[in-house]
This record gives sequence, structure tokens and C-alpha cells, in this order.
Amino acid sequence: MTPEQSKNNRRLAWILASVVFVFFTGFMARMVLVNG
Amino acid sequence: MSAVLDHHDHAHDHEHHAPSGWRRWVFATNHKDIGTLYLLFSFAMLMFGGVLALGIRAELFQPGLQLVNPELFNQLTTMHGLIMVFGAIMPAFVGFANWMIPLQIGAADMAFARMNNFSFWLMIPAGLMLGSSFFMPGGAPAAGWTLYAPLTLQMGPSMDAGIFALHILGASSIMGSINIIVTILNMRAPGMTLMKMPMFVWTWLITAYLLIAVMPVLAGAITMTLTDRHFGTSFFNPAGGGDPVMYQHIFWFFGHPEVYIMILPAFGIISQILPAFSRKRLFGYASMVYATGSIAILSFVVWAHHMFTTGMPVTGQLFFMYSTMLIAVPTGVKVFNWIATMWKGSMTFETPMLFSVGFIFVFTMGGFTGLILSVAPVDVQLQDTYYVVAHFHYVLVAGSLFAMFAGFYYWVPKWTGVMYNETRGKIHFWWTLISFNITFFPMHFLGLAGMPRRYADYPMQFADFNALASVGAFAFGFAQVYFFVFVVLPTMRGQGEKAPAKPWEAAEGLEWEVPSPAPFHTFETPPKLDATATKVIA
Repeated sequence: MTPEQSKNNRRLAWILASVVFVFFTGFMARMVLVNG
Repeated sequence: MSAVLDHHDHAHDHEHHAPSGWRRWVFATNHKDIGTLYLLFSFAMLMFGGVLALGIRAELFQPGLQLVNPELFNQLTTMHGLIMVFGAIMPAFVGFANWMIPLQIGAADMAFARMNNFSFWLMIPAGLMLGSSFFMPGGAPAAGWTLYAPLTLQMGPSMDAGIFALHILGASSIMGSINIIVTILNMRAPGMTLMKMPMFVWTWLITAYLLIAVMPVLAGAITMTLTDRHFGTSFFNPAGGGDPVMYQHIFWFFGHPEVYIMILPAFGIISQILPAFSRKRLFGYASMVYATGSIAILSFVVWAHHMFTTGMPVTGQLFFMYSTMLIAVPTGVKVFNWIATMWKGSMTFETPMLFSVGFIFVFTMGGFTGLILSVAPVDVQLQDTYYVVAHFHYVLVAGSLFAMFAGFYYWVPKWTGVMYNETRGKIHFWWTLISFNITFFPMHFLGLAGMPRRYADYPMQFADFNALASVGAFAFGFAQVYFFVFVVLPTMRGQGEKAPAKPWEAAEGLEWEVPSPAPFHTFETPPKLDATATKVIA
């Protein structure tokens, strides 16, 4: 694997991790703030 | 048994000249040309079926009737299903089979080249007949893609056109399947034993047997419908003592294996791509083969899970519930093998790999909702709701269609001789993945809340999720237009970086042993293979 490919993989991992984070915090916030 | 091929050197006879002009396509006997025809036809049908789907989603954007009347709405849902199943997904996989099977097993062409031509060209009148049924008196068939009696017995002449089209498409599929089986069993290069065949070839071999087994059953069911309509029989007509539920049994004896016909070749494509981009051999090759065979066999004994609400005995419900759950075992073997293939692999995420990983993620969600629906008491609640619509679109769109996109990006350098634009491929993937989920994920909630399928209108309580699904559907449709205009057309025109014989560093298989684009004639004499049957040594 070239350094360029490793960099692309890391970038993809960060993007996916942020999506997971946003959804997780979104669901938590909704449970706490909206549904009580 | 291995290859029985003509050692006579044809090369000097016709100097590898491809026929040109319209004759090349109308009289095509070359597997690559016929593969291309199948792929183009299926893409056209995908667009046609997609436009019908957008008609459905446009109407459902808001509660109330805005764009189409309920009769036309029923026609749209019916024709969307028929066209996508018989005109788009099935022919697309036959296109992949035509292109790749001879290349992957080291054969010169398909076994019955002229029958191959006939198989394809039969699809054109059938497709036209299906499409033009909208202009017949009473409009297109509107009984749902399952063509349930007694509704089919009450429809106008377009139902006869639909039945005839399905007969023709069935004949085409059977001929295609015979061709594929004979090609695989008789024309493999020496050394390509059954257990060394690429997984795509294996999955298609099993699929072809499934097709030969069940297409005549569909033909029987719709022929009985035809005789009920015109020749005074009452197979399914309760007014004459017939039984509409019998139609459902016969239809689903075809229909459930049909589901696997549409997904097994997808499994094959994914099993080719994951090892290439994980830089590892496929984990558990033999178990993959046996799992595919098990799924195919089990697919014959689960059909009545589509009919839990027809009033069958509890013992019947239990049998079909447990047999359906059993399919999760070989399917699970496959999913775990794919994950194990990627495990500790040196993975990179080019577009074919993105679609393959996306496939595993989203298809597995469809598999899980299938497992939920297999539970009879749950199914009684969810039968004919949008939960079912969500489930089978997760299987057929995120399953079959994603695998086809993966296969396209993986093999298009071999087909056209140029690399697709990677950035555009990635845009296509993310656009498709996100819009697909926006379209179909809310349908789970709609179904759980009780929204029935096949209605042009709905109560206000379902408005928000329906609006969201419609926005997603249009985005999904535009993603495919983008794919055609910015990815498919440039590669077909030869625009792009020149592709080497093997554009993917760790890809294995005989298709990568020939130049890109694959010459018009390949493997005219049987190649000598190495011990793994993945490389040509002479």
C-alpha cells in the first residue's frame, strides 16, 4: 500500500467516524431533549 | 471434465476482424458483444423502471391525489416491479455472465453462440410489449408484479400482452441458462477444475440451474391465468370453483428462488472484488461454494412465507418460518467469509471496493429485516406494509444493483480498455448510498406504523417520511443519470487513462491475463494454466 493510499484510508475512516459520532450524539440528544 | 476445444488455429482464417455496422449487433454471436447488448438493454430498462418509480414517489410526496389517478398508480407499481425484475436485474446479470464467464474459465466463447444471440434479441419484443402495454385499452397490467388471481382475470388486454412478454422473457432466460451451464461444464480450460473456478462462475452455475427449475413454473402459472381468461378454465377463478390461493403457491414456488436468482450472481461479484482490494485470497472458498448451493436448495422450501396471511395451518406456518430462518445460516457464512477476507487485509477503497463494502453493510440490513419478516406472527402484522417494501429494496437495490455497480467499475477497464474517472466513481457511490438510504430507510418506520403498500394516497400521519422518501428517490434517480453521463459514456467513448491488462494490483483470474480491452477473440486455443488456475503459463 502506498503512503497516498494509507492517507486516503485514514481520511475515509475519519469521515465515517464523524458520521457515526453525529448520528450517535443526535440520537442521544433527541432522547434526552425531545422525548424526555 | 475439462475443456473440449478446437485446437485448429482460427486466427488466420478471419484475421480477428470484428464485423462492423449494424450487422455486428443484430447478428452478434460473440459473447462480448452480446454481453454489451444485455448490459445496455438492462440499463435502458433500469431507467424506464426508474421513471415509473419516480412517478410513484412523486404521487406519494404529499397525501391526497395530485398527479396520477389510483388506476394509473397501480399500473405504475406493477410495471415498475415487472420491468425491474425481468427487464433490468435479470438481463444485467446475464450481461455480466456473457462478458465474464468465458474470460474467467478460459473459453473461446459461449457454447451456443447463435442461441445466445436469439436469447438476447427475444428480449427486445418482450420489453417493447411490456412498455407499450400502457397504451392499450384499460392501460398497463395493474395486478402487482406478482400478477395475483383473481385480479388478473378481470383486467384488460394488456394483461395478455404482459403474460406473452413474460413467456418470451422466460424462454430467453432458459436458453441463456442452458448456454451458461453447458459453457461452464464443457468449455473450461484444462486445469480449471470445478473447485478452482472463480466464485462468479460458481454462483452463475447454480443460478442457471435455479432458472431452469423455476421459469417453467412461472410459465405454467401465467398460462393457467391465460386459459382462465380466454378458454373457459377455472384454475384460479373462484366463480368457477377455482382457487386463487393456488395461484399464490405456484407463483411463489417460482418467486422465492427468483429472489436468489437475482442475488446469487451479486454474491459472486462481491466475492471477486473483496479479495482483490483486500490483497488476500477469498476466505473459505469451499464454504462459499457450499453456502451458495445450500441457499439455492433451501430457496425451494420457503415459498409460503410470502403467504402467511392466506390462512394456512399453524404447522405450515412453523415449517415455512423455520425453513426461512435456516437460510440465514449459509447467508451468514457468506457475510462472515467476506468480513474475514477483509480482516487484516491491506485494503484500499477504490470505487468497486466502496460498492462492495457498501453492499455488505446495506444488504445485510435487508437480510436482517427479512429474518424479522420470516417470523410468522410478526409477518401477519407487517404483511403488505412499507416494511416489506423497505426490506426487498434493501435486498434488490442495495444488494443486486450495488453489486452490479461494483462489477461494472471492476471490469469496465477490461471491457473498454480505459479506466473510469475515480473521483466520479466515488461521487456516484456516495450519492447513491446516501440517497438510497434516504429513500428506503424511512419506509421501515412507515411500515411499522401500518402504512399499506400499493395505495396512491395515505393519511396525514405518514406525510413526513413519505416526503423524505420521495426527495431521496429523485436524488437516487439523478445519481444514476450522473453515472450514465459522466462515467458510462466516457468509458464507452474510450475517454480516460489507458487501462493495463491488470488494473488492480491483487486481482486474480484469467480475465486479467488478456489485454485491455479484451480482444474480439480470446482463448481461441485452450490456455495452459498454473496450479491455481488463475494464471496462463503458456
